[in-house]
Amino acid sequence: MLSSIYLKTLRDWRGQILAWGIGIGVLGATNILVFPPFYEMEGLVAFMNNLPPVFKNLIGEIDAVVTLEGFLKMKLFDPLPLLLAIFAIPRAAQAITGELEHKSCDFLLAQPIRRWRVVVEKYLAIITALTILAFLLVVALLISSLFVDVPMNRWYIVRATAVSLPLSWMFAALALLGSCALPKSRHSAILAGSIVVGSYVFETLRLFSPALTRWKVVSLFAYHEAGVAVEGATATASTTLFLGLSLILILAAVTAFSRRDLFD
Amino acid sequence: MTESAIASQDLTKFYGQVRGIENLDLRIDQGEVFGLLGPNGAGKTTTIRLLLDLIRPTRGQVTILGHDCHRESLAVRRSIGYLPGEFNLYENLTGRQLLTYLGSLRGGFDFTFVDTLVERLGAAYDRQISTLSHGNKQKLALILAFAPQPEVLILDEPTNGLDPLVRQVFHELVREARSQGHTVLLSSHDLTEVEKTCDRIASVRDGRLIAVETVSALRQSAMRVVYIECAHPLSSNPFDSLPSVDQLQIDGCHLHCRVRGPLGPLLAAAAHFEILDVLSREPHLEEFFLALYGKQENNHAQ
Repeated sequence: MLSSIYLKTLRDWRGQILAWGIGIGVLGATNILVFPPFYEMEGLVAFMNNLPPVFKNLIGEIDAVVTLEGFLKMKLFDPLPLLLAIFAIPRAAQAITGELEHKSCDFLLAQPIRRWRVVVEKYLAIITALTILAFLLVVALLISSLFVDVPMNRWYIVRATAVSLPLSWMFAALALLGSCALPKSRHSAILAGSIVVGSYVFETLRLFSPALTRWKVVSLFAYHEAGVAVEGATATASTTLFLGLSLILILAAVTAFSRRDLFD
Repeated sequence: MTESAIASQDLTKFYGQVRGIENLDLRIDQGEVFGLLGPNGAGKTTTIRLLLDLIRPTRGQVTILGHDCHRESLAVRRSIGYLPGEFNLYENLTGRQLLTYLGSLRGGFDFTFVDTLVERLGAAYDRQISTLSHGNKQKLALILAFAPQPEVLILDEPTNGLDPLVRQVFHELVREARSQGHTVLLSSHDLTEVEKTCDRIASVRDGRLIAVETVSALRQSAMRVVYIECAHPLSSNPFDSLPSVDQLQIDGCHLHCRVRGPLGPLLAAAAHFEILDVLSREPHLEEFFLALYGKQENNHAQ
């Protein structure tokens, strides 16, 4: 586990990945296990159809919410990129500037390796960690779905989780760019965290106030298509967008780190 | 003519408006042990960081073994071993894991040689680094610098936190490196340390190179501090005429002065007053610098 920066980084995080994997798995399983009582409530659809428009906007498609897939979309898969970003941002923010702050960077860069390699290997470690978390979530959801007697499409779980990953990878790339360009790791964590949380809050407010829809272009979560997985479609457009943005951010991170003077 | 291992021309680094170093012209020969002396903030670490391409020069250039430290930094770093002045090791690893990791990034170390270094320095190799003392971490950092058996060793304050026995081993390692034709650049605050290991010394202050001297020339120019106690009250007459004596203070039977070069003439003059005791010591680094910089500034003034 110590033959590359990528493997060493994953090794450093193995305990955290496991703890987060258990946490996110328990969260997912809980969502599945609490669904049957909700599903069996009499008059649920009629009740929700009588809600004020503001709340109906918040819930989304009423008929979809009373399915397990729709319920998971609302409760788990819509905010999943935010959850994954909470894991990724502090680690990405620490990835480069953290080494400088910790004064271990000199040993690393005294070796004959290019700076871009440090950035790319650290980023690959972050997206691997996020993918492992997503995998553990899928496992927890599939196992817990065996204990509920509700019809569901199990492929949906895999698709919706997979659709959430590119956005979280992009958030990680954003924090990594901050880590490469800004003087302190807390600066990049605050910057990336503010963009992610601000975007999520805006997206939530947009559901209450359709007037905000004209500004949806600024919300990254507006492009998150957990819903299309319910319909069995693939989120090609959003996936391409997030992967493209991630690539641009990583190129910018590599450029920033390659040009940076490294001192405290 | 010996080829330069390290050569800089007009090397200058400004951090915004703050000068790191300016117009540094330095040539260090292959197989030479070269000391960089200076107080904190003098520019020693800036110079070293420029060699490693951790920072980029504002102007000028520096080469190691003919490779430009910025444009060909990969080739440069393949041929150097580096010990930073201030560092933290990866605390969650053991020494062995640390060497395995950093070694893997340069194609692997010769672990037979590493084991020899570990044994000679008495390093705690298989303990988690977070549990090690500062001295033991310094030993691991030294092993990291020597492990690739580099052609050029760059050591920033290498003996920080080492006990005298380990310092001896360090001096041996430096001598062995020199005997194999390797070049060593070390920066230090400790004049005695530098004198023991270096062939030549450069003094830097406020980002400028003040002087480059061989150690023997430095010894000649360095003033010793001398205290003499005599049986009879002293008068200044016999000492005033001694050109090697400076800052003479006489208080009854006690004499305090600085002497450049041999002590013979001073002792011969003091012998007239029946010497009871003589104390002589090397100047502290601060005193050495004051003397050296005072001399430089006087030269500039003239």
